[in-house]
Amino acid sequence: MKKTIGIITANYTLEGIDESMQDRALAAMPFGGRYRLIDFPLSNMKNSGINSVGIIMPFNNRSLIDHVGTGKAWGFGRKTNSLFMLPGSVYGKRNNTDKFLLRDIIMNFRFIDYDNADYVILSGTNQVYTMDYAPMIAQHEKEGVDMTIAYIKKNGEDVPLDLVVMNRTFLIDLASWFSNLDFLGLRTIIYDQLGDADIGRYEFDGEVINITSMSDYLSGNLALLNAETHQAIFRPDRQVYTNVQDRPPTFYTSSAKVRNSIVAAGCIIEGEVENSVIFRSSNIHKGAVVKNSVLMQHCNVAEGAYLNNFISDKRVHVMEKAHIEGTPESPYFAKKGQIV
Amino acid sequence: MSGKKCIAMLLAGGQGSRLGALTKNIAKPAVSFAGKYRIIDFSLSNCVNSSIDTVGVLTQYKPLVLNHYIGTGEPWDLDSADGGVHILPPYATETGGRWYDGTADAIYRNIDFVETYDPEHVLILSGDHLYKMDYAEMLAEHIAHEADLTISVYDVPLEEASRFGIMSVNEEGRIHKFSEKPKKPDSTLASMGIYSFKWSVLRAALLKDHKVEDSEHDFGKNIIPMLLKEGKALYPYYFTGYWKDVGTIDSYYEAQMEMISEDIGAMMFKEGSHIFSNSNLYPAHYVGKKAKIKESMISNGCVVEGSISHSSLATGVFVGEGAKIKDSVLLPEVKVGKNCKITKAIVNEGVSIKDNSVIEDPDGKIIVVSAASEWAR
Repeated sequence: MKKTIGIITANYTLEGIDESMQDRALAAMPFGGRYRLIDFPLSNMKNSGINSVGIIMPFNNRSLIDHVGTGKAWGFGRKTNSLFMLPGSVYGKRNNTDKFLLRDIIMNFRFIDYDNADYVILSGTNQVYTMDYAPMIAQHEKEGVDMTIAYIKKNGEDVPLDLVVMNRTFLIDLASWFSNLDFLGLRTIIYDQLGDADIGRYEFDGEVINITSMSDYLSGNLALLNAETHQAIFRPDRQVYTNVQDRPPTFYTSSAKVRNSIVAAGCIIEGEVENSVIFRSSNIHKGAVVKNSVLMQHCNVAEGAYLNNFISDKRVHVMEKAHIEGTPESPYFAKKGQIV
Repeated sequence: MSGKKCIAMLLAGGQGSRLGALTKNIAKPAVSFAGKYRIIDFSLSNCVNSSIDTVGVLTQYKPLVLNHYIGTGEPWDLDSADGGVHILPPYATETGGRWYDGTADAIYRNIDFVETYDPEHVLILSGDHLYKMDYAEMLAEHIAHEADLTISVYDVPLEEASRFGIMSVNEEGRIHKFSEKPKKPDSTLASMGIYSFKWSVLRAALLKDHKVEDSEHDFGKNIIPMLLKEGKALYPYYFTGYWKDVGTIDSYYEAQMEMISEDIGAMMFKEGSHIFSNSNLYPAHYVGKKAKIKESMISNGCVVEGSISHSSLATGVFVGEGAKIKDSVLLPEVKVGKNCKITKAIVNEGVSIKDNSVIEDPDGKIIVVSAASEWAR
């Protein structure tokens, strides 16, 4: 594989999720019991042999920086494998427009210009999949195109992914040619302004969990309960790395009843859990029932509470005998630290 | 790198032969425990939680898994530039090479290592004990007493006292008598094998003991009696928390079961300082549609399709549909086939059990299942 550097864009927001996440960037959203969304593109980069990765930071970057740190957990932050925190051009603002803004590239021009890599691979953060980028990069090289866009087939239609490979020099040219259109996305510029650009397409035949709303967030987490999806995301040959918190294993007491669920470490389960994803260090007390729900870290569900289609952010306390139900289309969401 | 207040030397070279199949390929401190941990995690975490940033780990018996596990010491924050964890196997000198010949000999032969840090005090620890202790507290008492040696002690039942080093204390609180594994113990104050020494005193004692021909170069048998004879100041440090030396299959099994009991398990894992580990990165565990789990501890990476009661499942364990696991310990990466029945067994790391196997001793004894067992695939 020719030398490729990676850029993960984390400075865009999604209207359907924005409100719920408050001070947390989308990329730092907890997922699948012990991960954050950024773990997936970052692990894909690492596992595909990409040694230099830049993350374009959102303005609300506290939780993302806290999670990623030096990138050590992903094998970055070393003399030969580097992770760069790149400033986002819309720093201090919200970006609901495009995932690969040209102004972000221009702002971080040096990151691309100083490197001698042949290609740049750009990924968003709100699609969860486990993929080896090497075949895509190889196809890009073989076809000799300017840009290759990944897509999946869904119900007979081609759905593009937020994943593109570009020649590094082509990206540098774009940045200088279209600096007056820097508020547009790379793909828009290429389609609208460069009719003669060579664009390749790469079909990814794995599973993709797309998260664009809180309803997607619930169904996306619960999709991991399906064995096939689980195996496609957590492949034995491609580890998903994350920032490890040393929590003890989970305890189940004599009154626990758990079926078809994912449970992370450090929980104490005394109640009933069905079709749910429980993050670390959460306690489900006696007589409590949790169904079709996602509970993030450090939640506490008191005795006799009933939750269905419920998403709780971290450190939510559900009171005794509370009865809370959402729907799959519109799950009930409890904000960080809320008492419900 | 000079002038450390205290460094730790962790004895991790023992074979632990009474653990049978569990230590066939790995040293006892590297044996899996309480789901995601290995026994040595407790001592290493205690060091870090007690602000001791320099630890020498003395290895000898089958150290490969242990070496790999400790790595750079990063999981315990022991990858520091000024100190950190050091693996210390026996090495050859111009007079030839030998194995470590006793606990004191192991330290004697690493005097040069200790000297590079020029410590005031040295903690001697065992890598195969399960407990949470703040060594800083012990050290503070040691310093306040101006002791030459402080021995951590535990009150044991009289009938068990003859398994330990037993000591008596005079009116001033000083140790005036010490006997290693006495046939007729006259006290129940047992040494936990955790010592804090003034380094200058330990160094002199090691040099002296080295020249004694019939010495077994053992702390309990030789060094402590020697220091008592010399009139050095020896004090006990009373420890009252959970402490276990897992010497046998029975005590290992018992300790594993204690970890899933609500009182001891909670004390070890929910309260106070964290135990750190070099855990492999597994996804959160999955509980299947027909699974039943009661009174058990389940680790990351497990997939449970069967029923589990009063058992401990370590990382990456798979239990197939219809399988019934009771009162058992499944170590990392164990795979249990469909419709198996396993009662009161310890299944060693990485063993796959054939479908429909029934593992149960008619007399209720503990069964250790290894890769060579009849049920293994």
